[in-house]
Amino acid sequence: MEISSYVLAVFDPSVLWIIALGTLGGMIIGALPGLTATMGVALLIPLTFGMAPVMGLNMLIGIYIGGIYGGCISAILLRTPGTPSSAATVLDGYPLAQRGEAGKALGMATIASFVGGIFAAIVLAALAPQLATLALKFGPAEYFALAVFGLTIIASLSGDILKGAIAGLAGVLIGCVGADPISGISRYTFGVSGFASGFAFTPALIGLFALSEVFVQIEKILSDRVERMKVGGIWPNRQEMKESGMPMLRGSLIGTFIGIVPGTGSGTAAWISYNEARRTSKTPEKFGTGHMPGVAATESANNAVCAAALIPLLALGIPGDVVTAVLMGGLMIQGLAPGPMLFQQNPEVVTGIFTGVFVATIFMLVFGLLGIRFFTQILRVPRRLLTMAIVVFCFVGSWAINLNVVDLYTMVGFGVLGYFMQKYGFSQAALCIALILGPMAESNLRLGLMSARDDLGVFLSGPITLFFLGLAVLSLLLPALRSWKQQRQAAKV
Amino acid sequence: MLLKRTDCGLALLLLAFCAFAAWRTTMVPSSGAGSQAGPAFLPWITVVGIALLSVALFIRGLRTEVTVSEVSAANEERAPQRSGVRYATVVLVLFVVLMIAYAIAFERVGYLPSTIATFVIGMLLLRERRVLQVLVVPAVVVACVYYGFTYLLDVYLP
Repeated sequence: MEISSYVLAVFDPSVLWIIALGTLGGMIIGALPGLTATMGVALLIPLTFGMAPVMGLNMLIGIYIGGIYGGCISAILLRTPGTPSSAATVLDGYPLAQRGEAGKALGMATIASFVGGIFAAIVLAALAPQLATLALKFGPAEYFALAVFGLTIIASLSGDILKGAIAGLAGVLIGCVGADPISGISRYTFGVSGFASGFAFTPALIGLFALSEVFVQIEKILSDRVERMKVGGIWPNRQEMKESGMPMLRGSLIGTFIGIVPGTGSGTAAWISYNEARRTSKTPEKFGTGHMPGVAATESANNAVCAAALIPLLALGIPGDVVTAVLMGGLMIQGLAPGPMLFQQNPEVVTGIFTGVFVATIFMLVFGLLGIRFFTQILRVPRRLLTMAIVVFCFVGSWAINLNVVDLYTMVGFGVLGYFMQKYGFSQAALCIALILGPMAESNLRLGLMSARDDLGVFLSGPITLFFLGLAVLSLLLPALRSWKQQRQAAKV
Repeated sequence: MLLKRTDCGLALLLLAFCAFAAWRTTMVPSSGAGSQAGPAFLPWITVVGIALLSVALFIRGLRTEVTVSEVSAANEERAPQRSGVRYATVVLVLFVVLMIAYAIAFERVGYLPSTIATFVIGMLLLRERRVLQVLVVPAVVVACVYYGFTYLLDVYLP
C-alpha cells in the first residue's frame, strides 16, 4: 500500500508538469551543441531548492534523460553531436538525413532511446542493489580491459584498417596532452596554461565533426553541388524495425551494464553498442552509410545509461557518470545521503525516482515523436545561412563549456584536422573513440602496473578482465576473418 | 586509386610528425613513481606505433598500381570542375583564416560585434549578395543566440 502511494505521488499534476518541463528543457539543451546534460542539470539545480525532494529530483532526471536524447537531433540533422554521447549516432544518422530520411532517422532514434530507457528503468527498479555490488569489483585491471575492448572498435569501424589504426593512435597521443593523470607532470603543453588539463573534449568533438563538415559544405556550396535534404516520413518501416530489433535490445543491455560501472559514461556505451551491432550484423558493410540499426544501437545504449547510472548512485552512493555526480549534489541539497541507507530511510524518494525515470522516458518518447516535424524544419533553412549559423553554434557551444578562449582554438584546430581526415580517408570516429578511451586506458594500465609491481599478469588474472580481453580479441579477429572469407568467395566467383 | 599515391605523401608527413613528437617525448620523464611505466610510457608506444604504420602506408602507396585509364578518367571528370574547385580552395583557406580571426576576436572584441562581422563576411565569401540574407538575417540570428544563451540559459558571452 505504501509503495503504491509513493508511486502515485509522482502522478500528481504539479510533479508531472515539472517532469515534462525538465524533459523538454533537457531535449533543447541536448540538441544545442556544447550544452550538455551535465550543464543543464548543474544550471537548474538551484531551482530545486524550494521543491519537494521527489519533484526536484525528478525534474533533474527529466533534464538528464531529455538531454542525452536531445543530442541525437543535431547529430542526425547537422552532423553536430549535441552531446558527446551522440557522437556515434552521426555515423549512420547523418547519411540517412542526406538521403532524405531525416524524419525516419529521428523516429528510430526516439523509439530506440525509449526502449533503452525503459529497459534500464526496469533493471533499475528490480536489481539496483545487487548489480551495484558487482560493479564494485571493477579495479584498474578491469577498467583497462574494458578500455582495450572499446579501442578495438576502431578495427571494425574503419574502412581502411591501416588509416583507422593511425587515427586511433593519434587520438591516444592527443589524449596524452596535458597533465599526466598519475604524476601530474605536464606533457606537450608548449607552456600554454589552457592545455594544462588537456584538450577539452566537447570543443574537440564539435570541431572534429561539425566544423569539419562546415568546410565540406562550403566546398559543395561553391561548386553548386548542394542537394536540398528531404525530411520523409517519421516511422521506420517493418523491415527496418525488424533489422533494428536486436541491435536495440543489445544496445539496451550494453548501456545498462556500462551505466552500472561507475566512471564509464554514455559515450563509451554508444560506441561499444555500435561496434557490437556491426560485428554481429549480416550486412556490416551497410553501417556508416545510413543504416537504421546503427542509429538504433547507439541511441538505445546511450539512453539506457541514464537510468543505469542511477543504480550505483542510489544503491552505493557512487555516481555512475558525470551527470549523476551532479545529481548527487541535487540529492544532498535535499538533505538526502545516497547509499544503502537511502532505501531504508527514504523509500518514498527511491520509489519516486524509479517512477520518475519511467515517466520522464515516456515524456521523451511523446515529445520526441511530436517534435520531429518541428526539428526537421531546420533542413529547410537556406544552406548558406545554415552553414554560418552552425559556425556560430560551434563557437558559442565550445565557449560555453569552460568560458575559455583556448577551447575556441582547440575547436578550430580539430575542425581543420577533421576536414583533412575526411578528405584523405582517415576515420574521424577512430580518433574520437581513442580520445575518449585513451586516457581511461592509460591511467588504469599504469595504476594496475603500480599495484602489481610491473607484473603484466595482473591484466590476465581475473574473470572480468579475461572476459573483456577475450571480446577484444574477437573484435579484432572477426573483421579480418570476414574480409578473408569475402576475398575467398570473390576469388571463387 | 589515385588516393593511394597521395598515401606516400601522407606517410612522409606522418613520419615528420612522429619525429617531432618523439623529440617532445624525450622531454617527458620516462619512469614514474612505483612503476617503470611513467608519463612517457604510452606516448612512446603511440609514437612508435604511428611511425611503423606510416611506413606500412608508404609501402602500400608505392605498391598500388594506378592504371593509365584510371588517371585519364579522373582527369576528364575533374576538368570542367577545376576552376570552381580552385575558387573553392581559395575560399576555404580564407574561411579558415576567418575562423582563427573569429576565435581571437571572440573574447577581445566581444560576442556581438565579432559574430556579426564573421557572419556577414562568411555569407559574402559564400557568394550571398541579397541584403536581407547578408545583413538582416545574421543580425537576427546572432541576437537570438545571445538572448537564448545569456538570459535563458545563464551562459556568459563576452
